[in-house]
Amino acid sequence: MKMPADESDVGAVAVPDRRDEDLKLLGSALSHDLDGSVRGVKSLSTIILNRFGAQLDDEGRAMMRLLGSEAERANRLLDGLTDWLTYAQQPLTPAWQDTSRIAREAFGTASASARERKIEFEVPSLPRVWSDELALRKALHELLANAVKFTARQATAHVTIAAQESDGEIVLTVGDNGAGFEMEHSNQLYRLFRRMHRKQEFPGEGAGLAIVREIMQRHGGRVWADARVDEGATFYLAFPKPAEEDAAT
Amino acid sequence: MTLPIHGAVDILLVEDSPTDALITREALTQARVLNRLHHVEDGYEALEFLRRQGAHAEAPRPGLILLDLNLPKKSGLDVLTEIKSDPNLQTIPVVVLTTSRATVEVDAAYRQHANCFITKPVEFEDMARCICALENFWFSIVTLPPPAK
Repeated sequence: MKMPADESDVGAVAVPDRRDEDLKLLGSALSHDLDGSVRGVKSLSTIILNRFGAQLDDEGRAMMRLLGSEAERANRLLDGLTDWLTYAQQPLTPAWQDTSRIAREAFGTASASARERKIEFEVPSLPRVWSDELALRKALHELLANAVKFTARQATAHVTIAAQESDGEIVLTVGDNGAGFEMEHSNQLYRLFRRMHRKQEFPGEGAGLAIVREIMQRHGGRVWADARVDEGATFYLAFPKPAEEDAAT
Repeated sequence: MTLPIHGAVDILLVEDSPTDALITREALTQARVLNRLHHVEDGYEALEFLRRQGAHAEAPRPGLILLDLNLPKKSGLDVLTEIKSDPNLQTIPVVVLTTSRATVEVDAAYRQHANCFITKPVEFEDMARCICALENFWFSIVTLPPPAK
């Protein structure tokens, strides 16, 4: 993402180029055609079990269930890929964002499936960042959802958001006291569908951080992490500040 | 579920995927929906059915249309536009059933006067519940307009 040179130039960041068009077509093909086909496989496996389950033996029924769970997995992978494509392609509309509010809302959606758990969440007053609202919300949602997920085994989960400001950028940090990971493998964190934990330990297909990286790249920013196994992880999102005359709003 | 008081209503399913048609039919069977399901595979055939043309001269007027958006040749959205701009057909409720969750498609469908937009659930059991809810809503709860002449 370029910073707009002046107000009238804001549209320049949103002009679709060939890559955007291709990604859009790919997204549409995935969500219409492939997604429909995978869903069909899943449903047919259920219908076969319902209607003809009695005619299969135990092994046959187990295979039919495996077929169904493979289709479910394919569906989750497709959802991840579609999500990634959306954030890689949709036009960005940068503006000064109310980071504290967006962080609180993102925590709400990220922790919706863990309401029964005790999670201490701290959001101080955060500086505004220059970014696209949907993209910022998505990036924080993904990091907070990971923090919620990887603290599942902690008696009390602590999730914190903070910010550091320098001349050139604002760095948001999302920290937790969860499972962490080995820093040795940290260069692989952001690869689509790359996972650091076994699925039996923590669910998920590994699209979240790839989406976060894509969002940060498109904002001309950076993402990095710091973690220790069983002690927690901290992710850093660096948003460049626009030159003052660009963002005089 | 209480017995429908309307007698059997005809439902027109516009769907090009044989798998999806089978799933919808199976879901109707599982929901014990008494209505008759008519299945056409593309948009031209759907309009022929609705206008009682060609092979569909004897077609009944459906009480509900289940329309897939992703159709060969004439798109589902075009079919929707034609139905909703035809004075004889525009009062028939159209349920857009599609795999897409793309907000532009949802928006476009409602702008063309779709009566509702449903993203087909992944799980068959959810699809069966969805079909059951649809039939209960459209044939037991709402008052439909009188059939056009």
